[in-house]
Parts: sequence; structure tokens; C-alpha cells
Amino acid sequence: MGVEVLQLTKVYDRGVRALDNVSLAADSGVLGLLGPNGSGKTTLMSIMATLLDPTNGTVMMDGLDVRKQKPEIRRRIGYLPQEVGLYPNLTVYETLDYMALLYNMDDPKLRHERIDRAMARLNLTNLANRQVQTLSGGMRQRVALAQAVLPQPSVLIVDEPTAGLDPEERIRVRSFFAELARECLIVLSTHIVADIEAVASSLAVLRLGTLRYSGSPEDLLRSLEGRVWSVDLPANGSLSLPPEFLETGLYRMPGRIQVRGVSDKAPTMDAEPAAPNLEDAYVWLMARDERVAATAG
Amino acid sequence: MSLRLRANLRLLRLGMASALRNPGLRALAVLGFTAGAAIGWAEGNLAASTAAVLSMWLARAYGVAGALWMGYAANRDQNEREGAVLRSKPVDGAVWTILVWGTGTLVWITMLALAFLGAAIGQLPASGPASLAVHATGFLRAAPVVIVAATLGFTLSRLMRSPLGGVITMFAWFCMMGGVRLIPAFLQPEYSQNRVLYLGAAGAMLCLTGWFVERSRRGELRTAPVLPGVTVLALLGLTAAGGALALQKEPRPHGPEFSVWSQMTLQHVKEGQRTPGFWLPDGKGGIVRTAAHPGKILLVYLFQAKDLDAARMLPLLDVLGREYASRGVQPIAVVLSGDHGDAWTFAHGGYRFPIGIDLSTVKMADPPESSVALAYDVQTLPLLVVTDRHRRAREISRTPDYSIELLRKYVEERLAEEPR
Repeated sequence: MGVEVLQLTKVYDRGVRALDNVSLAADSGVLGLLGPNGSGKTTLMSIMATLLDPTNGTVMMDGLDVRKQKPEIRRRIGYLPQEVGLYPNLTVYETLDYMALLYNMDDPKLRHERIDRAMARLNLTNLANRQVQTLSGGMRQRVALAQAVLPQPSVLIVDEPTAGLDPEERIRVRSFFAELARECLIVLSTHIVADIEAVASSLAVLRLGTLRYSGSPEDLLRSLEGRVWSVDLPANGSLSLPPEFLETGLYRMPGRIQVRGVSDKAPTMDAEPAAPNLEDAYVWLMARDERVAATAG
Repeated sequence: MSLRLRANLRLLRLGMASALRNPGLRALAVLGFTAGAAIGWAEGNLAASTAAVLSMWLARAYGVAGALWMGYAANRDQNEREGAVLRSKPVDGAVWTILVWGTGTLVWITMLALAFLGAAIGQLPASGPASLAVHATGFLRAAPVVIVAATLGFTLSRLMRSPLGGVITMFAWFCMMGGVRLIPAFLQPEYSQNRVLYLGAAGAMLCLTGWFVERSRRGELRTAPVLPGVTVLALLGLTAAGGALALQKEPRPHGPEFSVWSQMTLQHVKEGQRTPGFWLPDGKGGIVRTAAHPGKILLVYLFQAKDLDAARMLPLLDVLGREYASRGVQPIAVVLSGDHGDAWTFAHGGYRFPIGIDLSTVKMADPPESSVALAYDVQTLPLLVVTDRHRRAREISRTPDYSIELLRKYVEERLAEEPR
């Protein structure tokens, strides 16, 4: 079980550099891939899922090279892309049966056991005979997840699994990942920081195709210790904050506005230190790059 | 049955279930069945001719629809975004290609079968069990055309990674239908004698797409593909052989090098003179000969295969033949058609008098061009010639009235002159 990304570069036909010399590794738990839209997360996942070829470098999935051992890798991974094209007229059970057959599960007994188990884990048993087109977005996402875990993969690759889900479904999906992470490595791509915060044991942050951070979320948070502040401002916003204070959150309270942010020193006399969270770290990482770029420019 | 085979059959079944639950396709299936039944009912006891006409029109309609559908299906399942879930699965590229192609093709073959089933049921009361047999031949004639159109739509779309492949196939098909007289007969997909050529080409395209292109795209083509290579070459060989066969069987009026035909074409039908004799295949492996009925009064009826109006004479000739059999009256029909499949269809029509097919027919529109048409000096079809017992033409009716009374009158007049 494990993923090793080795100096990976992907340049598309039109010259767009989607990934630039990215290296990272993870062997268990949940590897969270965080980054804004267009940062290269989906490209990285597509390469991991053997759907795209890298321009340079490679990815080792469970010790197998994505350039040379695609069929072997496909047998060991589960993949849930951003857009899932399920056949709308099949029932949930038939959909999973179809996918299980594509995983070469020829033995009907084994296949039905796996399908029943996947449906039970994702609360789909009572929807088994419903056609996919009659399901809500959250239910469909659970069906899509169920198909990805059918082969009991050693690596599960999931791209933006909670996008568009209501809070209840989102929590359900996160809980599922937390439970599944005991059995296989999950590579989870998202731009929703709360998803990563809830389940990720390691983290990679991408921006414009380059790796900005790779390590544990705890280490990232530790690097911000003593640099996150909470400031109360009057509701009319008359008090201004220094330009080096990087806002990461803003909360409206009765009669005041609480601003949360990162700076090396307290932005105001009455600023209070706050425990850093991943949202702070993520905004800080992104803004730091922009500032470096602006300075260089 | 091996587990692998059962698994693949299950995949096919699920794919078909998914497609056939589509409300649009269901409506089309019902429409096809109902229209087939209505046409069958309306044409009554003309089962063979109805099947011949339907085999042409349904092959065209479902061929076009199949090509378009397959163009869409080929990319719906395999495109970069929505198809990613399927493409990430470890199923072999060639197997996957065959499965998707097989599912779509079976859907359209099912639709076609339903239309023919409707026609067979609609015609059952009037034509009897022959209706089932004859529409089965119609289906078997149309099915290869639909398979070829669907396969070309599918493979081109996969090779181009765009549904445009289906559109191009449909466009080519339309052009073929529109300019059908300009296209040599050996290249027409509708003609049954050309099916080896087209099925071979479609098979080669499918193997090339699945075994080479899809497997290469999926990173599965790692060793020299010997078996696929041999298979594609074999299919190309089959295509070439099919082409040669089609060329050999291409309808052409028999020239002077064929002594029998040259003699025949020197004869012309004139009242009071001996009518030209002929030897024609009957679609059952037999030969229809005028010389096989010496001393009989012949009713020779020439018509074109796809003319349903002209075919109304056939049941009347059948009745007449049975009614006057003991008195030496023999109807013989000659179908003008360049399509060998028509011979097969009319052979299953349930008629009890000989029907020969003039496969040298190059043109059926007036004036028709074929060896028999030339010999009988046919300017317009259909044509009825009533002979005496010495095969001399006594009545030449160029605008036959499809009434049994008129036919009886001709026969009674002959019998009055020549009772035996």
C-alpha cells in the first residue's frame, strides 16, 4: 500500500503546464490534496488512476509504475472522479454489479458479497432497487463511492467527493473515509479545507501545478503557532488593520466583527492569540506565494 | 459455461437493460412494432413482397439510427470526463470495445427484430405461417446492414474520439441511398450478395479499434499482438474475397458470350410467336424453366421485387394455378431484382407456383434492364404474357388488371381453344 510521486511533470498539448516537478509520498491513512481550482489536483489524480500519462517523472502506485503497469494498477485501485457518469436507467444494485464485472469479479457469489458489503457500508441497502436517475446528488455520490470500494482497493483515489453535497451527506462521506482509512490509503483531493481537517493524516498543497507543502497537517499548524490572531473590530469597521495582517476569517458578532488572521506580530494592541487551524494555514500558504510573486515582479 | 463468459454476458445484459429502459428507445421499439404490424396487416397476403420492401426500408432507417446512436454511445462511455470511472477499471480494452459495441448493436438488432415481428404478426391472418418464415428472411437480410452501419459509426467515433464518426457514417449512408443508381451494385450494402465484403470490413475495423487502438490507448499493448494481427489480416482477406464475390455476382445483362442468353435475347415476345424461354434460379437452389412445362398454357408474369402493387397478382396466380392445375395451366412469375436476397425472400413466400429471379437486373425503373426484360421487350413493369400450349404468346397485358375474373377469362379463352 502506498503512493510515491517522483518529480512529476505534466504539460498538456496546448503547452499548459498542469504539474511541475511534483514529488510526494504517502503509505497509509488519508493523503489530502489541497489547492484552488486549476492547481493540478485532478491532473495528478488522473495520472494516479492511469488515465493520463505524465510528461516527465512518474508515480509508483503500490510499487507499480503508472507508465508501464497500467492494467496491474487498475486492479488495485478504486477511483472516484469529479464527474461520475453512471447509467441513469440501471438500479443501484445493477450499477454496482456492472462495475464489479468490470473489475473482473467473475464469481457471482463473491461479487454479490462485495456489493452487499459496499451497499451496507454506504447506507445504500434500502436503495438497491432504485434507478440511479431517481437518486439525489448525495445518494449518487454514495453509489459512486460504493463502486470505487468494490474491489477492496489498496489505494482509493477520490476527487472532490464532497463538492455539492449537503452538510449531512458531507459528514457521512467524511465518516466513511475515516473508517476506510484503516484498510487502505485514500488520496483525497478537495478545495474544501474542512474535509482535509476532518480526515487527512498527511497533506499536500498544490498551487499552479507546483507543490507548496507536503507533510503532516500537524507540522503545518505548528509552523503557524503564535502567528494566528483574533481581533475584535467595531461593527462600523472604522479601525483598520496593518497590511501585513493576512485575514483568514471574518465573523459577525453582536455589535462587533471578529477578524481572524495571520501575522508575525500582533496586529493591534488588543489582538488575542488563537490556535491555528488548516484554513489559516491554507490561506497563508496561498497568500505567501502571491506576495513572493508580487515582490519578485 | 465459463465464469468469464457468463460475466461478459451479464455485462451485455445490463448494458442492454440500461439502453432499453430509455423512454425514447422504448417508444421507438413500440412504434417500430406497431408500424410493422400495420404495414403487415395492410398488405395482407403479400408476405414475400412486404418482407422484401421492409428489408430495404428498415435496413436503411435502423442503419442510420444505429450509426448515430453508436457514435454517441462510443463516446458517452469512453470520454475523458464522465467516462473516467469506466476507463479506470481493469477490463481489457479489446473486451470493453466488444462489450460496448455488442450492447449498442444488439439494441438496434432488437429494435429491427421487433419491427419485423410486428409485420409477421400483422400478416399472419392473411398469409399464414409463410408470413413468419418470410419476415425472418427479411430480418436476416436487414440485420447485416444495420450491423455494418452501427459498427462503422462506432469504430469511426472511437478512432476519432468524437461522435462525428457516427455522423459521417450516417452521411455516407444517406449519400448511398440518394445516389444509389450511381453506385455500382457490388458496392451497395443493401444487396445480400455484398454482405461478406461489408461484414469483413466492419469486423476488421472493430478488431483494429479494440485490439490495437483501444489497447494501445489504455497502455495494454505491451507485446507484439500476433493473434490480433493475424485476425485483422484474415478479416481483410475475407473483405477482399467478399469484394471479389460481390464483383462476380454483380448484376449485368448477359452478353453474347453466354450462348443461352444470347439466343434468348435475340428473341422478342410478339403475339402469335413463341415466347422466349428462360432458366432462372428460384432462391431454393432450384431452377425455373419454361421448358419444364411442355404442352401447358403458361401465365408468365414479370414484376419488380419491391413493387407491392404488382405483387398483388401473385396470390391470384397462386389461386389460378391450383384451380386449373389439372387442366394444364401453369403460372410462372419472374422477379426482376439485382439483390440475391430477394430470391431467398420469395422462396419463403409460401407460393405454390414457380418464381424465378432474374439476377441480371441492372435497372428496375422503366424501361427495366435485365436479360429477361430485354427478351420480353419490357418497356414497363409489370407484364403478363399468356401463352398457348405451344408457348406462343396469345395475350400480352402490359397493364394487368389484378382481378381473378380477368385472369379466368384469359385462361378460359385459351382452354376453349385448346382443351388439351
